[in-house]
Amino acid sequence: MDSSAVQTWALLILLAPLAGAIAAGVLGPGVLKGRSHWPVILGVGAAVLGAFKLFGLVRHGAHEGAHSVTVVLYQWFAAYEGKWFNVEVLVDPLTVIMLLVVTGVSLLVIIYSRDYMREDGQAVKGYERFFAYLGLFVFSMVALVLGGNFLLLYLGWEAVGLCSFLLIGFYYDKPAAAAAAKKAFLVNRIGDFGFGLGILLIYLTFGSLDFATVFDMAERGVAVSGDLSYGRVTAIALLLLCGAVGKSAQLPLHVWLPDAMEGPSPVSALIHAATMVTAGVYMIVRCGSIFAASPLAMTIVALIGGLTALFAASIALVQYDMKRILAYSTISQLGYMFLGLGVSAAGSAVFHLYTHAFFKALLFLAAGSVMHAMGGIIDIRKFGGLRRVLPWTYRTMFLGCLALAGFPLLSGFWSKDEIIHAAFTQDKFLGGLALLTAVMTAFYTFRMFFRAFFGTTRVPEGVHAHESGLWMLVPLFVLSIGAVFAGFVGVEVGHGGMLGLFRPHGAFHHFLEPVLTPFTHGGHEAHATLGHFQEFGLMYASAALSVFGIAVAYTLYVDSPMLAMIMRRVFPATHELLLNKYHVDEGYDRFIVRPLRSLGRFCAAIDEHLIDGLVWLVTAVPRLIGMLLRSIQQGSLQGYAASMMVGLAVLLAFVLWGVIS
Amino acid sequence: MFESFWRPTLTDLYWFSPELALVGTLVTLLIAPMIVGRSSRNATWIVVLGTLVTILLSWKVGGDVRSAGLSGLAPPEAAGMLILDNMSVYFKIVLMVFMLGVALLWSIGSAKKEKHAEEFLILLVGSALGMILMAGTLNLLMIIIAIELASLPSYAIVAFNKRNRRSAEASLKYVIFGGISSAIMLYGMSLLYGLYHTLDFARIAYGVVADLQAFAAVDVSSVAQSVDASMPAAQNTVAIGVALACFLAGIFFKIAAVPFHFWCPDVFEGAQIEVTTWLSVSSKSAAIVLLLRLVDTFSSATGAFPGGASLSALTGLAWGLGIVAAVTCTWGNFAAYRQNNVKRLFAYSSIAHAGYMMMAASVFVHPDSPLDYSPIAAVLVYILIYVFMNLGAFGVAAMVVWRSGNENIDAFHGLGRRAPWLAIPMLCCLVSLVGLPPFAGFIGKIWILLSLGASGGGLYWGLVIVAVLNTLVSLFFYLRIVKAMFFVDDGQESFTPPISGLAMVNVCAVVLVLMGTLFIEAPRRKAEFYASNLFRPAILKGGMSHAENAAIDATQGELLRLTEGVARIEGERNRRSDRQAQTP
Repeated sequence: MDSSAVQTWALLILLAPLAGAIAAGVLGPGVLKGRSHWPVILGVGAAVLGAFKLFGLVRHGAHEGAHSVTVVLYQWFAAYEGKWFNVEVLVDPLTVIMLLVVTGVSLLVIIYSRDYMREDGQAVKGYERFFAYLGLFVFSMVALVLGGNFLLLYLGWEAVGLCSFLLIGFYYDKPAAAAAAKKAFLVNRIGDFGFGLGILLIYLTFGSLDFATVFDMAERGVAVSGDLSYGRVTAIALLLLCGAVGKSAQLPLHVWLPDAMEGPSPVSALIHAATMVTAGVYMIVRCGSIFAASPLAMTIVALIGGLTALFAASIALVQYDMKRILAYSTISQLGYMFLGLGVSAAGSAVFHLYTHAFFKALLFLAAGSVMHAMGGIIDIRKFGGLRRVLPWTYRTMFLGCLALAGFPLLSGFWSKDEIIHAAFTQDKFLGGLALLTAVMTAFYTFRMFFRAFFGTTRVPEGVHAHESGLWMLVPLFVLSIGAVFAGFVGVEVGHGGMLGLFRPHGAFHHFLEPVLTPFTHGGHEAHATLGHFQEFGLMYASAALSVFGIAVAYTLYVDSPMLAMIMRRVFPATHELLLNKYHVDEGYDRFIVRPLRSLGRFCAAIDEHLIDGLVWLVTAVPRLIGMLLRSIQQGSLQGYAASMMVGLAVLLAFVLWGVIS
Repeated sequence: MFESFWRPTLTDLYWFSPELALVGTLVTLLIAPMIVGRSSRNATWIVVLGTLVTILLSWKVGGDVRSAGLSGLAPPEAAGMLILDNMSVYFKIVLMVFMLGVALLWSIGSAKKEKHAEEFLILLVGSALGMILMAGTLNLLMIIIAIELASLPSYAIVAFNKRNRRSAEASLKYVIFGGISSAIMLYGMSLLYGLYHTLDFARIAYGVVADLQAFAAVDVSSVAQSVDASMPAAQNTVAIGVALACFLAGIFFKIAAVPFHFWCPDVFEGAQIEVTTWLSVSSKSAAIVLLLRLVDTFSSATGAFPGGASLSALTGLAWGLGIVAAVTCTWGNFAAYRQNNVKRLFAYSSIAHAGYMMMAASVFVHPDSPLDYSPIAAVLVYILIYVFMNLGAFGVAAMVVWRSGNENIDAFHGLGRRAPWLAIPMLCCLVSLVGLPPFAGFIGKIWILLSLGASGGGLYWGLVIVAVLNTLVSLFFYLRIVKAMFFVDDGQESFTPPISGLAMVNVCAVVLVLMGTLFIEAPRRKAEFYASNLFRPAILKGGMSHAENAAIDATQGELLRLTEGVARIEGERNRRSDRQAQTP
C-alpha cells in the first residue's frame, strides 16, 4: 500500500470532522446559528470520501498481498528507556470497514438531525453545541478506529465516552437526562478502569503498546521476560474484556444504555446503536491474538454474549417505551456479536456489526421520526395505527424491523444466522441461547411495530401529527436500502446453499480474512464439523423461527389483542419481573450505590475534619518560612547588600572548606 | 604588533548580521523622530520590523553556520570572542520572539500615553543586544561588556516611569546592586587573568581543570608527600575557588540566584509591568545560557587531557552550582507564598524557575559520554516554554492591572466571569508554571528532571527531590490566583480587554497546551539539535595544530612582554621619582 496516500487520507478523515466541530463550536453561537450543521456535514462528508478512498487503497493493497499498513504521523514522546510512543494510524480491512460504517452512518444521522433538532422550523436551544459535539464524536470515533497503538485506542475510547456523556446530557436541564449522563459515565468508568489496567499490564508484559509488536509477541507466545504465561495472557484478555463489557453494555454493566435514551434520538441512533457501543467488539477483534491465546477468556466472552443476548431480549418483550425496546434490542444484538467473537467467528461478528449499524440506526431514526411527530411522546401505549399518519416512516421502519427480526434475505438474517450457526458448532447450549433469542427478537420487534402502526389510529391529545420533512426522510430511505441489501456483500450468490442460491461467507469475509487469522488459527473450523444438511438446515430453521416470532406478534397484537391481555394475567410474576428489568437497577442501587454513598459521606467527614486539619498544619510550615523570608526582604538597601556579602562569604567558605578537607 | 590585527571581512560581517540588524534598529529609532517626527506607533513598527529582520537573519545565518561547519567567529587568538553556534542562534530567535511579545504588550498598554516611545524602545533593544552577546561569548572581556550592555539599559528602563517614586527607588537599587556584583565579578576575572594570563575562557577552563586535577592527585597521596610539595597546588586551588566564586557571583546576579536575588522583587514591583515581563525572562535566560556555555566548556576541558581527565575534578563546582540552584528554587517558592502583589509574586516565581534551570546547568557531562537526556537541551526547551508561560501570565496580569489600577491579587477576583478569555489562558499559564500536565510546563520540568536523573549521583537525585517538593509548594501560590479568578467574586464589573492582547495571551495558552499534549517530543528534539555541536575551541578538543598553538603562544607572549614592559617602565618611573624625592 502506498503509505503516503494512506497518511493523507487518514489525516483527512481525522481532521475534517474535527475542523467541522471546531467551526460549529466557535462560529456557531455568533455567526452560523441555525446553519451550524453545515461545517459538520461538510467535515464528515469529507471523512466519508476519505473512508472510501482508504477502502480502495486497502482493496488494491490486498491484491498485492499487503493488507495492512502502519503510518507514523509523528513521534509523540519517549518513555524513560527511550521507547517511543507515536501518533500512528493502522489501516487494514477491519479499520476501513469500521471507518465506512462510522463515517457513513454519522453523515446520515447528522443530515437527519438538521430537521430533528428544530421545533416548528426554529433551531432548538444549543443547536450549534449539538453539532459541535457530533463532530467531536466522529473525530474521536475515527481516532479510536485508526489508532495504531493501545494508547491512542484508549484516548479515542475515553473521548467517545466523553462525547457520549455530553450528548446524553444534551438536555441538561432535564433531571432524567442529567442523571442518565452521569450514570453512563460512571458505569463506563468501571469498565474503563479495567481496560486501563489491561493496557498497563500489556505494557509490563510486552514492553510496548504498539499493536504490531504486541500482537506479534502474543502470537509467538513470548513476553519481555521469557515466555508468555497462560495466566498472564488470560488476565490481560479479561481486563480488556472488562472495558469492552462497559462500552458495549454487556452484562453486568448494561444498565447505562437504556437510560442513555434520554439523549436526542439521533444520538441514540449514532452513538448508542451504530458506532460507539460497537467499539468493544472492534477492540476484541483487534486484540484477537491476545484473546485467541486464552480459551478461558474466549469462553467467558461467549457466555457473556449469549446470556446478554437472551437477557436483554427477554426484557424487551414487555417494555412500552419505543426507544428503550430498541435499546434493549441493541444490547441483545451486541450480545450476539460477543457470542460470535467468543466462538471464534469474528468475521461473522464484524459482519453483524456492519449490518446492525444499518438497521438499528434506521430503527432509531424512525423512532425519532415517530417521537418528533408525537410531540416527544414515545410510549407505545399512548398512540397506535400510525401507518396512515406517517406513511413513509411506517414503510422504512417496517424494513428495519424485518431486518432486525432476521427475516430471510434481509441483511440481519445473514449475519445473525452465521453467528447462530457458529455458536451451535461450538456448543449446543450457546446455540440454544442464540436461537431462543432469535425468536424473542422477532416477537418484540413486531410487538412494537404492530402496536405503533396498526390498529385504530390514536395520537396523544393536543398533538398535530405530521410526516417528517425530506432532511429526515432521505437518511431513512438510504438506511432502509442498506437494511435490505447490505447483507448480500457477505453472501455468495449462486453457488448452492440455501434455496440453492445463497451460501454464507462472501466477499465481506474474504476481505476481512487477513485480519482474523488469530481467530481461525486457534479456533474451530465451523464448516468442518457440521454436515451439509445440518448446516443449511439451521439456516432454514432460523428463518422459520423468525417468521414464527413475527406471526405470534401479529396474532397477539393485531389479530386478537385479548390474548395478550390474558397472557399478562396468566403470568403476572414473570411479566412484573421483565417489566422491572429483573430488578437489576434496584439491586445495584441497594448493594452498590447506597453503600458507596455512605462510604462517600464517611470519607467526606474524615476529609473535612481530619485531613483538612492536617493540611492546615502542613501548610503552616511553608507559611511560617514564607513570613520569615518576607521579613528578610524589607526593602533596605544596606540590608540587602549585607546579606549579599554574607552569601558570598558563605560561598567562599564553601570553597575553602572544600580545599582544606 | 598591530599589522597582524584582525579585520573583519564581508563574510565575517555576514555572520554578525543579526546583531548588526539590531544595531541598525537602534540607529533607526534614534534618527526616525528627527525625520518623521515622534510617534509611538512608528517606533513600535520600527522595532517589530527590526526584530523580524533579526529573526530572519538569525535563521539564515544559523542554516549557513551548520552547512559551513563554522562555530567560532574571530581569528584564533581571539577565539571565543563572538561565538556563532547552534545555541547562540537558538537563543537569538527565542529572545527576539519574546521581545516581539513584550513590544506588543507595551504597544497596547503604556505606549498609548507615552511621549518617549523611542527612548523606551531603544533601551529595550539595547538590553536585548547585550543579552544576545552574552549568550554568544567565551571571552572574559566580552562577557563583562555584554553584561554591562544588558544591564545599563535595564537600569534606565526600570526607572522609565520617572515620576513614580517606586520606579526610581527600584532603579537605584538595581544600579547599586549591579555595580556591586560587577565589581565582584571583575575581581574574580582579574584573579583568573592573573592565574592564567589569558582572557579566553576556554584556556582558563583548561588551566583550571589541569590545576584541580594536579591538586586532587596530590591530595590523594598527601600522607606520603611532604607538606611543602602540596602547598603550591593548594594555594592555587584556593585562588581558583575564590576567582570562580566571584566570577560566578556576577552571573548569579543576572540570574537572580540566592543570595544575589534581593534586587529582583523590588525591581519587578517598581518597574512598569511590561518591563517586569521583559526582565523576568530575558536577563535570566541570557545569563543561564552563558552559564551553560561555561559549564560545557569546563566539562569539555576534561576531555582535552590525554587519557581523559575525570569529571571528579569538577565535583566541587558541581556541588556549588547545585546547592545554589536548590536554595534559589526553594527560596523563590517559599518567599512567594505570602505575596499579595502580583508582580512580586511573579518575581519570586521567576527566581524559583531560574532555580529549576540552574539545576540542569549544574550537570557536567563528559564530552566522550553524552547523556541520554542532554541537560543543555532540557534548559533550552525550558526557556522556550518559560517564554510562553510568562508572556501569557504577565499579559493577563498587565491587562487586569491596567483595568483596575490594582496590583494585588484581589484585582483578579471574579475574572472568570468578568473576562473569561483572560481567565482561561491565565489558568493554563498558571497550571503550566506549576508544572502539571497537560501543559508544556510539565514537559519542560520532566526533561530537566530526566536529565538530572540520567546523570545520576547523589547530588542530582537530591536536586530531583528538591525540585519535586518545590513543585508541590509552588502549587499553593499559583492556585491562589486561580482561586481568586474562579471562586471569589466581589462583583467587580466585567470588561473587554483589547483584542490584540487577548489574541496574544490565548495564543500563548494554545501553544502551552499543544506543547504539553500533541507536540511533546518535537521541541525537545529541536533543542537537542541546537544544544549539539556547541562551540569548543581547539584547545578543548586536544587536537590543536602546532601552528595554531604557536600563534596563540606568540600573542600571549607578546601580551606578556607588553605588560612586562609597562611594569618595567613604571618601575623605572617609580625609581626615578624615589630618587627625586631623595634628592631635595
